[in-house]
Amino acid sequence: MIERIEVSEATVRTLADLAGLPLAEGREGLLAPQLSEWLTAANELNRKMSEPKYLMVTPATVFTHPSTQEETNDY
Amino acid sequence: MTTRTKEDLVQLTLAQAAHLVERKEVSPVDLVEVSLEKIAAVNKWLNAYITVYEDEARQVAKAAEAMIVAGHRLGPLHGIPIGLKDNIGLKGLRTTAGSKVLADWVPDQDATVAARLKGAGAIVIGKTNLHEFAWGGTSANPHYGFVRNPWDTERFPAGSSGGSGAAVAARTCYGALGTDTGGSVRLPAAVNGIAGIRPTIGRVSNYGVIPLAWSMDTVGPLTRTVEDCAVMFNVIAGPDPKDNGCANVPVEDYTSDLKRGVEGIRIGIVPDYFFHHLQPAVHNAVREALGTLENLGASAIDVNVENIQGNISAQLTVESCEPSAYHQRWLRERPEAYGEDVRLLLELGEMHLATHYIQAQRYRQLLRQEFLEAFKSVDVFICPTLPFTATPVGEMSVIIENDVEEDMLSAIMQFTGVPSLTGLPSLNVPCGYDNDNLPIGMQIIGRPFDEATLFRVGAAFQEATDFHTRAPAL
Repeated sequence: MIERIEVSEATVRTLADLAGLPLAEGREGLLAPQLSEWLTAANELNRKMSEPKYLMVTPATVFTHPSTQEETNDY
Repeated sequence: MTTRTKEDLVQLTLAQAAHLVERKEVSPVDLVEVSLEKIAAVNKWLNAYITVYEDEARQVAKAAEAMIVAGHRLGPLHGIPIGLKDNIGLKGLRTTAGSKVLADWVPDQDATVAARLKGAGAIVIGKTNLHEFAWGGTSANPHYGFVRNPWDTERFPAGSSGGSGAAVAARTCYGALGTDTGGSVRLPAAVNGIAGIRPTIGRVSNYGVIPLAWSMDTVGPLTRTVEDCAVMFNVIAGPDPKDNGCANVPVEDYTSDLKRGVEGIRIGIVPDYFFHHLQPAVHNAVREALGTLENLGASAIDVNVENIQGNISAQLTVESCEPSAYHQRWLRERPEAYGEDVRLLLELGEMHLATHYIQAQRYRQLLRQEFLEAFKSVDVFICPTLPFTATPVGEMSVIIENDVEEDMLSAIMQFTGVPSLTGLPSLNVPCGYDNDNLPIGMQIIGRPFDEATLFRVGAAFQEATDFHTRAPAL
């Protein structure tokens, strides 16, 4: 289990700056708790998907081809 | 043309109404009039519609009546009043997506699904309310009013297609279209006591529909019965050259197996996940539904899906990053135009790392392969649609067990996330009511492009039960 991340308000401001998102004043405090939850869970998923047995798994966002379609239809 | 009372007409199912129109026993004009009267009576309580097309619907109904009298039937939905979720484009008519951002947007083309419904004779009676931009599960819309549940107007209708769910359950139309990214057809279908299907990704065109998350978006019907759902699905399913994501797979007649029963059907259960962490009434109703199907000849088989844990995080990651990409310009130029909850989600979606998103998309392949493998030994999976019944309007958290408050968004997609991530089709069917007379739904999940089996199982269940025949007392 990955340790819970505590995202600070300053980190939220930095992330917004990096994204070029002009975050209105005071919104850091609204975003930080939810972002802490989500990034902790996302890092847990990162850990799972980094296991050697899953290294051959490709992302769902690949172009599909007719042969892939036919294979899917076998199920 | 008819001697039936208005209440008789209101209570017809879509399939019954379509049959009676075909036989010239009921006029489309009467169906539209009773629907408009019902909308006028209940919409002030429900906020189910953003726009109602009174004049247009009456005009089309008159034309539909003239055509049927002359012996010309456009298709299986001839003369049937239908609602469309307001993120589905209609040429020349405003399509808001439940937002202030698009409050005055008028598409110059019909969405493919809208064109197909109209081509089959359906009469679009209005555009239904939704969670703003479909990004949320409560339909608490700050711009067009919170949608309410016709079974208890102090409760939510779920979402994001909450207006479509409430509109159908309240008998203001005979069917409606919704969109489903993380559960937005199935959730409102469940808490409003009606049927609703999320199709296989690629089975139904998304062309002309305002996107939420491109890689998970689908369009599906919400109806009073499974049969009605199959009738509507027949019309909207199929390849679309305008949508590159739409699969070139032939369309079946989805009504052909409705009477086939479930003898020999193998139902997969993932007990550690699908019957874990849910309200007792929901647990009991879905377990009893499984018993009913077993009595009808199906068999239930426990299945282990090794990596099912993690699906909520993957869903939140994909479903937050993709909308944030779509909304990037508006979020910078007009952030105050969004409701607070959607603005927050869009801002959060900008703060994931690229690796989080890619790992979530890889997880989707992993989970999909595990389900496809499991489908070698079962025909469908069954689980609850959501782990609780309708919560009070406006609540952002929910208590499922042990007095622990949980974030609504994560809690509501506990079971609907699996089909959304894997692209598998999933049908909600009403399967009970809790002690407050609030509906409970179960999901029937199937193989890719095997919606016919979902309709078959759902119809067999409805043949043996009466949950779908009950109507809210409004």
